[in-house]
Amino acid sequence: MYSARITRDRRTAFVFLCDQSGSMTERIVFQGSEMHKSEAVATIMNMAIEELANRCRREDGIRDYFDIAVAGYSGDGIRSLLCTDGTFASITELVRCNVPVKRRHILRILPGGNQLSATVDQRQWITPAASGNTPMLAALEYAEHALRQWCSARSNRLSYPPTVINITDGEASDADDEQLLHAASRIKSLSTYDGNALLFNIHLAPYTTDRADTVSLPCSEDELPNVKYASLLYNMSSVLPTQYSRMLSAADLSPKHAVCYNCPADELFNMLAIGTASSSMTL
Amino acid sequence: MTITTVTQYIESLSSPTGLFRTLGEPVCERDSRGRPVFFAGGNAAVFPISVDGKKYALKCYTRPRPDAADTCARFASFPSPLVAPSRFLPDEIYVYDTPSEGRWCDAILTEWIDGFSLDFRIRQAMRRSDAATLSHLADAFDATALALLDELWAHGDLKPSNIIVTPSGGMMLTDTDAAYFPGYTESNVRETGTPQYNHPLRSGLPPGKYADDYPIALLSATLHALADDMTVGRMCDREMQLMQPAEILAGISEGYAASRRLAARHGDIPLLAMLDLLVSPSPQLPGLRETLEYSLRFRSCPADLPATSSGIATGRNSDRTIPETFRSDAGKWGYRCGDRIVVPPVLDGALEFTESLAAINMCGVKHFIRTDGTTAINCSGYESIKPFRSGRAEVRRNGKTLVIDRHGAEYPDKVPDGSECT
Repeated sequence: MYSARITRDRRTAFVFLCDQSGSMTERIVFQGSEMHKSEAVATIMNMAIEELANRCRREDGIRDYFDIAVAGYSGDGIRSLLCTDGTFASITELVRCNVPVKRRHILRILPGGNQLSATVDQRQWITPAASGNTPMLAALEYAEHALRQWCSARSNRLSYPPTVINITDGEASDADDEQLLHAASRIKSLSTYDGNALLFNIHLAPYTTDRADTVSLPCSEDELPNVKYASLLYNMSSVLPTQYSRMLSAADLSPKHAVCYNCPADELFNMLAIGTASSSMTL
Repeated sequence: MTITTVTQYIESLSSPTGLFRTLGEPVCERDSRGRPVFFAGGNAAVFPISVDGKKYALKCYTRPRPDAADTCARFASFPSPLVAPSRFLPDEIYVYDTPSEGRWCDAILTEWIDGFSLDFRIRQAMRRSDAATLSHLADAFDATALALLDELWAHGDLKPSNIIVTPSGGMMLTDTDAAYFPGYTESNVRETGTPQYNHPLRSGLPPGKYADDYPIALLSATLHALADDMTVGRMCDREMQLMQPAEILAGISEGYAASRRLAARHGDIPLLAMLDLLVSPSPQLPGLRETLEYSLRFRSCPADLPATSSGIATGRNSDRTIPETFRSDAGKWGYRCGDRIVVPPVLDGALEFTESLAAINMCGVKHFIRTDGTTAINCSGYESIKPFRSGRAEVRRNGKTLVIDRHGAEYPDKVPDGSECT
């Protein structure tokens, strides 16, 4: 289980669900700059897609190891945020997309204490958006539908199981807790011969959160703050397989839940890297 | 819990000032957009860099590797022409988690090996329909495998992407994270190789020198099958895998069955012998060395043959002793001179030598072989063949009896009856 190697004939899939509700206009600090949460998430999603493309680079170019879907959920409903047709896009399709390139200027602190101005050119597959309510149930159902088709495809039956990563800053507006738990269960029941789909939930911290309040990949619910919503996300999330823990740390193999509560924007990219750690299972 | 991403390493190498502890400001290769060139793998990214004018491969891990230092130190204790010298650099590269915070990461610096991976060279040869190159790659691999079997350590993760073909046609090994050294126990070995190239039972056994046996047999068989007949490449998946170990052992590998058929058709006895090894119930393949040596001898490049430790003579059968048939416990036929195996027992039928040629049956296909075990006359078009008498051998095709000479040319004359190879 969770041991299938990812190849071009047996890809794995990543589905990212991005909260684009009105609360995402709240301002936070990301990489030393203040911006809307939606801008930070868009930037980080673009970094994550770039990272997945980087992981596919071999001697002969970019290899198509992953099927990627990115959907936004807001008052405008659920929509794919990628520039390609269809729900899923391959890595090479994304790399070939003619998307704008944004130049970010970052002031870095060198280990010796000096400052250094750096520029990073980043492709903009995802653009920021924020409006209306938080139809998280509809988003989960979108992911379920997409992955049900993906898992049933003959070419994917032996593949490494797909991963869903839900990034949200607040509670759903279209469902109660029970409905969300059922939707999460339906996603987690989808499977390939190598195992069940994995569901990560990442809750974005508000501006004022103390980093000490961040709980990442807890082993038990007791590690979470006494907040109903935190428990909900915890119970919606998958328990990471042992192989996953081994990919993350050779020393600590205790089972972890795929949830991060009060995740600061600066930590979100790391969480997405963890959420897509299965991408190291390429042949 | 923090993962180091390829993106973070790229950013540090793009502007290395102040971010390297011992390497100063390494100069990395850049692409047309000015970005560092790199190659990613499952657990690391490798950047070609120059330090003080000398080229190196800088390996940066994206997964925890607590034994990387130990592995480097072990290879330093077992220097080998198969592996380029490496240095473990603790806390060498600074990567940023935020613009103001970061951490130092370990790296491995390896002397650069010019060339392309075996995976790349196979694909290139297939695209160009270059059978000659495939044949050279197959022979070079067999020679490299013999040298590897002579080492005290095992690579542990042999596959085409971990083998570099140098401009001179030799091969060197990279990505030694799964290496086994004498004295290792299960606690030492954290990587168990790539399942697609290993016997299904390997992960259940303690680590050992045998770790390279099955991948060697699989790669050798694949290369020789492609060299014999490139059309079998249509059965490869997109990772250029012709046969999957689990399917071979389950008896359902179409690539394996096709390879056996073409080995028989081409009279490629060492390929058949290698394919027989692949159905071993164990990852340990005791006959592997002899099969590799036979393969090199069979393909007749005496100047390139390595020194062997098994006592099997290289090159042609120089002492002119005529081999005799023998039958294995499994009911297969081979040839030997005393205790020395000339042809391993993989044949379905074998007659004694007459006039230095012997009729054999490989999976129903007939050939004549020489006393050194190499194929002299491919008789795949005949239903049956008889031993040579006075320079001629009787053969049958479509029910009609014909006669061939020692070059395989057909004649209308008949020769005295002898036993028949059917």
